[in-house]
Amino acid sequence: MFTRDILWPAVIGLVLMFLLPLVTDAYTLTVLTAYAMLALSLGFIWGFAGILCFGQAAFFGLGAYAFAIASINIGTPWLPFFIAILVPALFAAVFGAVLFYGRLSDVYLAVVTLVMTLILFKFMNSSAGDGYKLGTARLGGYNGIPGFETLTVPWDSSEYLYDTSLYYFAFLLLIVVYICLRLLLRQPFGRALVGIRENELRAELMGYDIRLLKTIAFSIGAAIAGLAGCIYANWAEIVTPALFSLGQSAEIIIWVIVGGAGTLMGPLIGAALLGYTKFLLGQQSLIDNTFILGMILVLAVLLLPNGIFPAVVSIVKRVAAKFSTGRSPRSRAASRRSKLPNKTGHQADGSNRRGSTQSSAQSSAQSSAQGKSHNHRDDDGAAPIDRGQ
Amino acid sequence: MDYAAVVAVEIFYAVAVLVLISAGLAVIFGMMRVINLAHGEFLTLGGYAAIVSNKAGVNIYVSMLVMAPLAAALFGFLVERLIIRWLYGRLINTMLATWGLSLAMMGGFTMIFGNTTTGIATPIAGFTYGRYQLSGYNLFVIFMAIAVAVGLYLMLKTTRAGLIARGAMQNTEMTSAFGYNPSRVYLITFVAGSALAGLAGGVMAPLVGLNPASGANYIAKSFITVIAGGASIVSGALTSAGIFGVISQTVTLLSTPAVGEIALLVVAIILLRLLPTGITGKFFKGRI
Amino acid sequence: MRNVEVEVRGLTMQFGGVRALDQVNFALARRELRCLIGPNGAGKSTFFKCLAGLLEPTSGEIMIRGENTTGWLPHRIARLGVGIKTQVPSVMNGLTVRENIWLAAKRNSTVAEANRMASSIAARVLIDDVLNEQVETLAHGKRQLVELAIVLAGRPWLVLLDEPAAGLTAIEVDRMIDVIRDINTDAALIIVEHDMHFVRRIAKQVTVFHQGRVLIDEDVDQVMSNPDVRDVYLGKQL
Repeated sequence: MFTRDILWPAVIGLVLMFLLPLVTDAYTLTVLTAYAMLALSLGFIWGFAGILCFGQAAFFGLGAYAFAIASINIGTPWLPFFIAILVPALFAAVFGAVLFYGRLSDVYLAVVTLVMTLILFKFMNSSAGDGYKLGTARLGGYNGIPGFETLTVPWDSSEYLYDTSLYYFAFLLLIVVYICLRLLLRQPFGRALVGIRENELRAELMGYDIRLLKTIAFSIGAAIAGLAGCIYANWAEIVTPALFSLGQSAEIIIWVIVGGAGTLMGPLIGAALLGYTKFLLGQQSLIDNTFILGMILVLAVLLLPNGIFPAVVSIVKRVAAKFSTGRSPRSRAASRRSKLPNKTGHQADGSNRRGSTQSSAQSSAQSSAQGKSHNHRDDDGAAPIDRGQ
Repeated sequence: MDYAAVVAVEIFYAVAVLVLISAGLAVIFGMMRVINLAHGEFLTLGGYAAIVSNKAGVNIYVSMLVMAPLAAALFGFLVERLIIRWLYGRLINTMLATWGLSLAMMGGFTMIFGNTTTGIATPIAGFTYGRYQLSGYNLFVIFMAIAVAVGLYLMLKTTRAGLIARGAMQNTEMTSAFGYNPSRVYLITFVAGSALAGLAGGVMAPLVGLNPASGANYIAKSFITVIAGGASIVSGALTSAGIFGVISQTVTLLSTPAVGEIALLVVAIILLRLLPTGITGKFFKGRI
Repeated sequence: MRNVEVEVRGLTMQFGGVRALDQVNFALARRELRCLIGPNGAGKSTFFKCLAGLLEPTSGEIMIRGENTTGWLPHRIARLGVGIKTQVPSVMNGLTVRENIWLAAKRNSTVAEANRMASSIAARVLIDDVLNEQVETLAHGKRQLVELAIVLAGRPWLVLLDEPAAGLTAIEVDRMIDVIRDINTDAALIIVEHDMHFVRRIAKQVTVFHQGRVLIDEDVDQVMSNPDVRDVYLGKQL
């Protein structure tokens, strides 16, 4: 466990941290690291707890704003650093409790989280003027908040974390968070989350309180997103309502989908690759950036529902299996066919199932899925399975 | 007294806008259980179609009421064949794919029309009522919303196509057992929903400055109107549009439009939390 | 009756205009094995779901070991020590057999204990040969047994089984019967079952449901020879 979950990720992470500056500058790398952290936060709650949040950007933005506002009010940056993690985590705990204790199904969860992001976006956009002040910090509306104290070296408050030093700091945080998540997933709590993702009903019948576990997972995800927002705020030295935008939320989902939900490494790679692509694309004006992002999402959902990383892993495994004797990779297709009716079984009769608010929309979608299952590829990107990390 | 009348018109107008911009999404969600997150961009597409054809010399009403729905319907046809069809029954994946489509369309608009705001003039002049100035075009929007709602209701209730559609809503397998190809029913539904979105976009075009990101202004409102409305197409969209329209317009009159919109969204979240199957899931089960 | 562990009084379940359960009374003694039978739509599955917390009854009371569990969520009922197996195998398809059993065991044991239990329980229901296979790769019969192992891992004193024999081969049915008898040595069971042949092999006491009511509650031989029961199964009106 120590070698696999701590030593290797740490070594590889550190090597990468020193190699990456050879590829591009620290300024770009810092924001890519923030993006990777953000992707990790969604990758965790979606891939391992089965919570698809369409508004992860809300926590990113909250973290960034919390840092900026606290920094202006307090004057020193290290307490705000923790506030930036705590505020989104608490917000998510309360918001998540309302949702999960109300047993909203995944579609409604997606809708509600999306709407929540829009509310924050609209509110921040309309917060110009002297009326909108938190302590001494003006929210600034569309223009956002500039001019707050950024992070300094802890033992020397005149030495700012800036450019290269900020990059190393951010990357170290990323390694730490990644290792913590891997360890968490080995704990009974993490395993129970995966159990819930696999089969909520069964987890419940085993005696797990899925409402509580999901709320905690959601809050952890928000804390990580808040940390990403904090790094972003230190990098950009300004926070604006665009952090809460729908486009930002979509981008996070794109990173995770392209990288592969159900793994921790996939989202990191997805964010880094797409973030860098976006940066390169930003230097040309022939094709619109948003257009390409959108097309990537459409194509990823249609063609690569499991993401790039798991696809590569499975190809590597298949090749490896050819060379080694004995076990050939198992066919998943055969067993998946039996998975579908099973899922339908306990959800379709859920129209009257108490507590479970499987909407009628949900159950009829399920039953029509059963009827038309021959039309579908046998994999559902919304219910990813751990395919190694 | 005059003021009361003006407020009443304003509120009716807010409800009408919600009905109009949600109708297409409601048809697609109600019959296919597909949430089209690119709905806002379909509206924008209709808007651009109306503006472009009007600027090319087509009569304004033809541009809005014919060209806009036509353009959106054609585009809807392509989208159904190329994307939606492969994802039926997988609600979340459809949402993700259409979200991608929404971004792609936004980018496409930027490439074609540039990142600027365009618009056309309102074809109906305003008039004074007592001490107040009223927009004649707002009355036209109210009229269009009523026409769309009544038209949808009659179509679903009295025509053969409506009967098939209602059958498909209840039970897909039965429809195919009766000899109707569900894939065809879905295609027609999606195209019809797209056309309604285009129509709404066309009708709204003179009211808003259109830019590539305009869809974002519509999607949240239409989205929650439909979801909160629940599975019943007409009664669901009407009730939730009624509730949301009244609330947001009242709050807007009392404070600012931004606060009005926030109030609308907050009410939507509360409503969804309390009635997770939508208003009609609770009160009008099984109606249209 | 002495040692009553489950007592149901006046249980009624209304679905719109349909009354699926109508004033059902029921009692289960310690370590009893009870089969619930009846034609389709008789209410036995609804009754089962009410017991398991999957449905909230319209009215009536369910007492499990002195606790009024009416309206409880399934996880709270499970925590009382009630193991529940649903009709369609409800297992975690993406996990291995070991992980499935481990998760169930971990709920009320230490990690070390759960590790041990995963192997020992798999051996007990004879699926230790597939311990490290992913559940989704297993055949239906094996998955039924995996679910049974999950139920056992919670160390229940009361086990609710919904149609455990459905879709099993003859050999698998034999194995299932052995496992059920094994469970019954220290736990009570309530088994909903369609297959009369299967019921005859395991049951002592049988409750027959008909049109949402309990028709008869008797020893298995008497139930089998009861003309009313035969009529119900042949579809005659009473």
